Amino acid sequence: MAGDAHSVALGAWLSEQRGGQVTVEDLEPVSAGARRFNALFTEVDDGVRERLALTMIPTAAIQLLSVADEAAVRTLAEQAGVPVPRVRHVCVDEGVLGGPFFISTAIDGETVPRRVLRLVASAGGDLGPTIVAQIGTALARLHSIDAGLAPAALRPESGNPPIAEALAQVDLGLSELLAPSPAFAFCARWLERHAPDEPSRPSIVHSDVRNGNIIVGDDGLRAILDWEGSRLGDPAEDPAWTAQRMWRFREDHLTVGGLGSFDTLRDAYVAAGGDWDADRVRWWRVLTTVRWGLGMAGQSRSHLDGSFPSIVMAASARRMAELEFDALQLLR
Amino acid sequence: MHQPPSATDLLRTVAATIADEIVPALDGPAQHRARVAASIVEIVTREIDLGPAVREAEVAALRAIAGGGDADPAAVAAALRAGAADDPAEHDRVLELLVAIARGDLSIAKPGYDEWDGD
Repeated sequence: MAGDAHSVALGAWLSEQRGGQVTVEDLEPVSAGARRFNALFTEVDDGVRERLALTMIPTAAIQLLSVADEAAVRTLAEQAGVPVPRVRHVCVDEGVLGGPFFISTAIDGETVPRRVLRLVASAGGDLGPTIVAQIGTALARLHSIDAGLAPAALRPESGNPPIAEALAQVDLGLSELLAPSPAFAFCARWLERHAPDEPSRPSIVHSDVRNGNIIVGDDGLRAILDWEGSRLGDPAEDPAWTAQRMWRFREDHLTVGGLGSFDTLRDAYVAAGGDWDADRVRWWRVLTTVRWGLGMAGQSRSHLDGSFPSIVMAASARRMAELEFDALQLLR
Repeated sequence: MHQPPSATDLLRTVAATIADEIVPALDGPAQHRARVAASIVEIVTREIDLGPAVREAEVAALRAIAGGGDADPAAVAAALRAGAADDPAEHDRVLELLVAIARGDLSIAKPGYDEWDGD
């Protein structure tokens, strides 16, 4: 995405929305993943300058959730007291920038995990546990939202309830492996035998809250990012996912993102009104570990079959042993 | 017969060159891909060095899981998925053997990752 042409196009679109002359300056790409383009820019509206964030989905076909639905979820989360960048504009017209996009407020702070950990280390004191507690509070608030308000697209296409859906995905992933995994087959059996009851009340689940999808500053958690994976599910999935070893960046003793303990997360979650069932959370820790490992194998398959040739994708399957090891350790 | 350096010595040199000289000269996505490339070369080098012994140990562990029977990983996986290790004592025994297999793979793919006993 070339900066100048898009600055002009974005400025013209914003001018049309506001009915005035708006210009876009200093468009600065911050990350360009396979699925989305993120940039910061300065909006100048009648002399008033404001830094904003642009999220554009380059190809409408590969979005997990439409920009309109993602924006709706973020607004619901914000109303429930979850820190999110406030959505200012949504554009579903792919003709403006080459894909649907939304614009939100830009929030200062660190997002790159190692920089987050460096900030926490240099701040000293309780910044890490403070962030973990704030994540726990935010998750409880997110899960308290009336699921009836959620956009229809958040319901799984299969119509399966969350536990059955997750188990079916594991078996599908096992069947797609190019080489068998006795470890994950063993875990799949354990998951099936220990499956909790379907949640009495489905909740909006973010599904990817972790060190890497948060903005933090020296005052703690400022925002939770990347809501494209939101769906209705079992709320226990979210706290479980925060505890993946992969998000600790070698700070293995600090279960939640290398920042703080699982007890800190739980205490804050419960204090904010969340239900915490330790067995259910553990089950989701195993499930999400296995699912991520199967996903790693899937990435390498998409390299091999030519649908997404990339050295990064090619390398992914060699990471599956990490997830096999972690999942087995959780079953001790 | 080639004079040394050996194939793995050459691969180690390739990995070091990418990591120490090429990665710092790049930025952005290309730098990330170069880092991944160095990592892959390191993994493949270890696979050449350690692979045969790791596979031999894996076959022995799979045979032990199968109770001295077929060590075919697909057959073992299918049996485990169907509940062959449901009994608590058998669960514990098989778990240790599967952890040993994962440790073998990690000695190639990510040495040191197995220094963790769970939370």
